[in-house]
Amino acid sequence: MSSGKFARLLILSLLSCLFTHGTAKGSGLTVTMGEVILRNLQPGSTYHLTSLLNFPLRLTYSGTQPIALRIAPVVPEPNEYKEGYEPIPDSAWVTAEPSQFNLEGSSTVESNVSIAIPDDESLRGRKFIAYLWSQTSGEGKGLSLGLGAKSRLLLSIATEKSTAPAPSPSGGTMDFELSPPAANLQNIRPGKKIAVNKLLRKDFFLVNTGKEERKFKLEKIPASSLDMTPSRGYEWGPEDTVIEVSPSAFSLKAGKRKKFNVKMRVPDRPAHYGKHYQYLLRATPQGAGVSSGILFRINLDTRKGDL
Amino acid sequence: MRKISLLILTALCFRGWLGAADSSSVDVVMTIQVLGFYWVESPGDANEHVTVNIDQNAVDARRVIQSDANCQQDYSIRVASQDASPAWTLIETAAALGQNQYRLRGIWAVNNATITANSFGTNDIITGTPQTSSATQFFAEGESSGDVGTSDADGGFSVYPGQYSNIYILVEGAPSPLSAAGPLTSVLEITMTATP
Repeated sequence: MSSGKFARLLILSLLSCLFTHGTAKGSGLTVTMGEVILRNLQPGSTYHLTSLLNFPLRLTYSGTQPIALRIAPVVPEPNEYKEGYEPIPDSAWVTAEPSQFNLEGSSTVESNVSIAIPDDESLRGRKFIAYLWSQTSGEGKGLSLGLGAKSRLLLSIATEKSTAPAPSPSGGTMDFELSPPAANLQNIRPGKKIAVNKLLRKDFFLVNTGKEERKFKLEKIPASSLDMTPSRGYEWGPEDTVIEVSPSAFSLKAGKRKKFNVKMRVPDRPAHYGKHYQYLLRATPQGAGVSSGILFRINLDTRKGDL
Repeated sequence: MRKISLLILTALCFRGWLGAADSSSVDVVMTIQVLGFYWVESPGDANEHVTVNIDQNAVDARRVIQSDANCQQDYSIRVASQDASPAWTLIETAAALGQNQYRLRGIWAVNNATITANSFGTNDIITGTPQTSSATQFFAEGESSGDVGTSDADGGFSVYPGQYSNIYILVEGAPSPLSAAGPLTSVLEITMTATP
């Protein structure tokens, strides 16, 4: 057999393998900290997110093959810039410890993320963007497809020196979740008050995953308050949209969850028909020092004007 | 009366807490909780490598991934590593390939796409630097939607939670005749990264 024929046979047999392996759910990687905004950071201070907020980067690998999982802070590529934010001058501002895991199979691991702002007064009032890149790599021969995820960190440096004491551990917490993290509504008529949960036939929960009882508040926040941009395809909903969250403040024991309801009404004006609006709710736990929050997005498509 | 006093006390507690926000204190907000994806249809697990003939000039089998994020995410693609002996060189431009050179291109498309080598353009070349998918990057924008789908629905950007995405990879190799000492196989690792 010639080497050409052998190669063709080899390819055919391997392509056949591709298709026969293709039905089962394969490997996967998920990371927390999809995007995190850190505001009012002080030059000369270091922020350890795990000790301050019990907020490690959690990575979950699903698969049967041994892999190496690496986490590296990176300066963004030009196509990853965000308006209003400068690329971080030095990736050493951000560290993840440990930064490498050798996993034999499905596992969830945690890495402690720290952000050290250089003691440089010229940084005041500036905003920076950085990424934490988590990637798998393995061993073998041929064409393989690795898994990766990039967590985006948006850092805002305080304009003024803080008179508050340095943030202490056990202040705030990120030990809670919003489930689901978003609500998607279609064909909503402006002017009509809607009960979001009822319309979607879905319960919304805040889950206290921490070890202590906590007070939480849930509120609509103005789109401009975090200098964010809406998700692609959406624009911020009109500020005078009525959004009622109930309960808006409550206490929740460790390990418990609380159902919350959302009602809203988009103002009935011609300009609000046929739009894709996005709104933000923020869940904030009680805590001293560092404050924390998780956002809940409401994506709302309004009915077209001719109906 | 006792209940009313308790209610007032609770309200005052919350008021004190809500009013205690200090605009100068550090504030950490997680705007996106989870990013990630699964290989749904692939040669196997994350690193179950499949041998490819680097001179095959053929579209490799479709791979399918499913978003496991809880928000929209984009996919960036790069060649993470390559290893062959004697060395093959990855070419990151559309230039004609010479001896022992190869190039990879990728496009997102519908699950039952009709893809040929001609479906791949210059902006579909996979490089060592991660490039984020867009309406043109890693999409056969010149092909009919009947063959490849549409960039909005089938591209690798603004992918919705739970959405399936299909990637097709073209392996281009050096023209014949190959170097007698050249390898038939190579190790190529392409990393797909979910970005917010």
